Amino acid sequence: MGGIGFTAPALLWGMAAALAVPLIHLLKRPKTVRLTFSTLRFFDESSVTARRSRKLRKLLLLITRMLCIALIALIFSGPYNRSDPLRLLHDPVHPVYVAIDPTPSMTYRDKNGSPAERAHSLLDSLAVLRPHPGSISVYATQSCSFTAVQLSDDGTAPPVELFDAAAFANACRETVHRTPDAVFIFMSDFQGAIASTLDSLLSGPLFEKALFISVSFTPHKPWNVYPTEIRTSTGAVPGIKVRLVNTAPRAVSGKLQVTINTLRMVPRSCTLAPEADTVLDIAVQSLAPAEGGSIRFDCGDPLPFDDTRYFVAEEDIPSSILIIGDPAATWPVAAAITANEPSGHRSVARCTYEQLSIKTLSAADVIIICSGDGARQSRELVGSIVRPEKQTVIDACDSTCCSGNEHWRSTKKPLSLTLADTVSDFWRGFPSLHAADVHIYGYRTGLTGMPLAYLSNGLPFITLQKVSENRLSITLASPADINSADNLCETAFFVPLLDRLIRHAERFRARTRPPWIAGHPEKNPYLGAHTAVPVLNAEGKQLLLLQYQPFFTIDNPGVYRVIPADAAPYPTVTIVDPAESRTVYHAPQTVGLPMHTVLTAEELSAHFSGRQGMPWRIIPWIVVGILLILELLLRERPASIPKQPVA
Amino acid sequence: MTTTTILTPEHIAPIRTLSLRARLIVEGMIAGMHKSPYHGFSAEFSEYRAYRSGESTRMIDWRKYAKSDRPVVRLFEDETNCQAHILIDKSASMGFASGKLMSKFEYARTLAASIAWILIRQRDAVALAAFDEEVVTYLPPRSTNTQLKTIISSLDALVCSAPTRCGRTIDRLARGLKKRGMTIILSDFFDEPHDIINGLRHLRYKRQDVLCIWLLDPQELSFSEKRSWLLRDSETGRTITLDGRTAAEGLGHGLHLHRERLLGACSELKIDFCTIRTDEPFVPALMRVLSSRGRR
Repeated sequence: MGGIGFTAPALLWGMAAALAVPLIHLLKRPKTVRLTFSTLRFFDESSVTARRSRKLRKLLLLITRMLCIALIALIFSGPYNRSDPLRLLHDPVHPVYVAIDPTPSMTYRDKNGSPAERAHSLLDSLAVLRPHPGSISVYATQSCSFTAVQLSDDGTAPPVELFDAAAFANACRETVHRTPDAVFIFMSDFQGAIASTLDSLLSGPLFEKALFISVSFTPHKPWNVYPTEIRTSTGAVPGIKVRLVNTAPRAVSGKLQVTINTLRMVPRSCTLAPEADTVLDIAVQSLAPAEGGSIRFDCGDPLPFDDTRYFVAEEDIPSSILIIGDPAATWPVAAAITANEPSGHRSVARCTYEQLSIKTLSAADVIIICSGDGARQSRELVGSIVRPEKQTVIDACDSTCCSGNEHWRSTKKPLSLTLADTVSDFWRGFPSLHAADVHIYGYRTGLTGMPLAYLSNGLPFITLQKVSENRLSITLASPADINSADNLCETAFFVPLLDRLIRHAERFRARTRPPWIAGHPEKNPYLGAHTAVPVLNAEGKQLLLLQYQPFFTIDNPGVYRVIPADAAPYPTVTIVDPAESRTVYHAPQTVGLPMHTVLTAEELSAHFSGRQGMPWRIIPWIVVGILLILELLLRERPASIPKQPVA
Repeated sequence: MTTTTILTPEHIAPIRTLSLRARLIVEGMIAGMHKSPYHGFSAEFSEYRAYRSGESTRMIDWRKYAKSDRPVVRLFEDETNCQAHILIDKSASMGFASGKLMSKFEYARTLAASIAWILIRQRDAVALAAFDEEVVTYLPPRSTNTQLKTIISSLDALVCSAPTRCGRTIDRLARGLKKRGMTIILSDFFDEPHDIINGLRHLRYKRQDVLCIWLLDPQELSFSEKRSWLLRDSETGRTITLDGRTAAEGLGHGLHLHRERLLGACSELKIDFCTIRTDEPFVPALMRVLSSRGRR
């Protein structure tokens, strides 16, 4: 990769023209004439000195002319540093493929406009700089392919859409197969998991020759306020609990507007503490199960797309969580669960094996078996429980519980964790950066079920298995409590992991469906049904029919009604992607990826317009100018010989 | 086609006989001037002056003495108009000729013969001195026709050799001059200007009307810049290698300076100084020289 390359190597032959200079000099070399002259009294020593200096001058002139021609030929041949991947940008006809992140976070609006607007404005300016047809193609999210660029009419950004990373990767692959040295420009704010998606795309062998440029539009000091985690109470005291998240470094005041069905409640003013979550209890007169509504918090935040959160009132089913193990070792587990649900919606109980009873086990919705004495017996006892309601068992035992194909392995070199994916319902939005902090010294092998996370040696760490219709089994290869086999409960990974596990267990148990994400493809629950299942919007208008398509997408958030043919109609909610609300931005990885570069919009424009590296590009021309001036200075002036008398 | 136009050095060079060559030139010149050289030269009464004791009594105008009772001497114009000395440089540098042109010496002796012819026709006494480092040949002044033949044969016998000591030779010749007269110097004057000026000054001191004719070959006026030159001094044998530019500049500046100094001195001494190139036709050159003297 190193060394110097040339954009037009054929022009290097022009350097041969430099050889013409000495040839011309030789051809024009004056012939020596011997002459017996009348007198040499007029030619003294100064004439000899003048002759020598003139000879030296001619030699310098020859060298200057050769250098000048060689340098001009060199400049026009377009030398470049092979190790500089950005050299491809300097070629005005080189194909450039641009993709703009269409996710809602790109609508973040500050005084400079939104990243989406700035990205499209940059694209327009690039298209003006590269008028050659086909030189710039833009990734269309709907067709999942690169198409010729079209200038935006009014400079506004197109509406936000889903960014399908897999489809984008496929489009990139197809393009690279066609044009191995293609230039990809990805304009994004790099919010959420976009950066990690890019990293996984770029770490493959695909981008060995192709150049991938990430243009960052990350907002400066971003903040956002949005409602989340709406919990409804439909019992004797109806009410709504909503968590308002404020990531601004200052207190934010706004008005909370609650709407149930079509009934708007009186707006409520509230002030949120800086960089803190505030849980609000909203009392309502009545709230029946399956009633839909929305909560909107208006505070003029820069990311307004997520200010409204829709909900469907659920029947109150509190979760009962039982932690089996030594209380001295299991308290971090209980604390983590409580930390994730401070509202007390979950009841957490701890007991030892000795305190276990069939009644206790049957009453628990989620059972967490930790390490310690009697863990093996606890596991067997839990396995024998038959309960009509759905129950989840989280098995986090140590070496004492190994049975069947399971074996306990120890390692002196600690292992870390890797998530199986970042886009599934289980892991979406999970702070994966903390997984590397986990050190596992002992683990079980031979776990069965679908792996959710892996050890760094490739063996599964968390597996998920639906044992029966009413039982879900989640198995951890290493204990979750305080133990010597791992440091799981000491890391920042622990609390969000437990939250995901408990949420998954609650989702398994819940009667209401998980919310659909607006713009995301959802799995069709009625795939292959005999009768098409209509989905109606709030106005009762049919949006789509669920029957044969494996996936469907609902673009707008809201409360929708699904009317199955063989069951009672039920409401379901579509919310905006909560991952897009987080004001967490990650720069894409460039270490170890020589063909991946992160640029600012200004730097990219400079590269496109050829202004980048201008001083270095001007220097050869300055040298040529100096050589030409030198050539003029060295060139002989007409001789100032006094006119002799004529006749 | 007139005679003047055909008398170029190239045309006249094949004529080996100098007398014929001189005659051609003079006749051509007279034809060109349309003016007889015999007019205006006659012995006439000039003035009376008092007789000085010791003078020959034959000089006394007795008729005037009878009338005025004072012995007076009648003075006449000299029978010979003047004594002209032709000094010709025969040094090795005068032998230089470029191309098919006559050498400077060839040109000079042709001019000398022509001038001698004219002067003798005018009844002027003509002397010839050929010199290089010193005077090689000297013919005392005479106005007879045989003197012309002697001059021409002497010029014919001269061969270019030896270095120039022009200034010193002129100075020596000036010492021997007793009467006022005219001195014509035909040379390339490639000597120290200081010596030449001293010689000329001495000539003027001897009441000589001096005419300097500076003969130059066209090659001596300009060198081709497109050639490189390996030059050998015809007098000293010294060699030097020069590129055309240096040679042209060196010669140009040197010659210009040399000429300026000579011209300045001649102007100061009231000496006519003419330059003739050897590619110049004889008759116009000679007419130019003589007419320039006529204007004074």
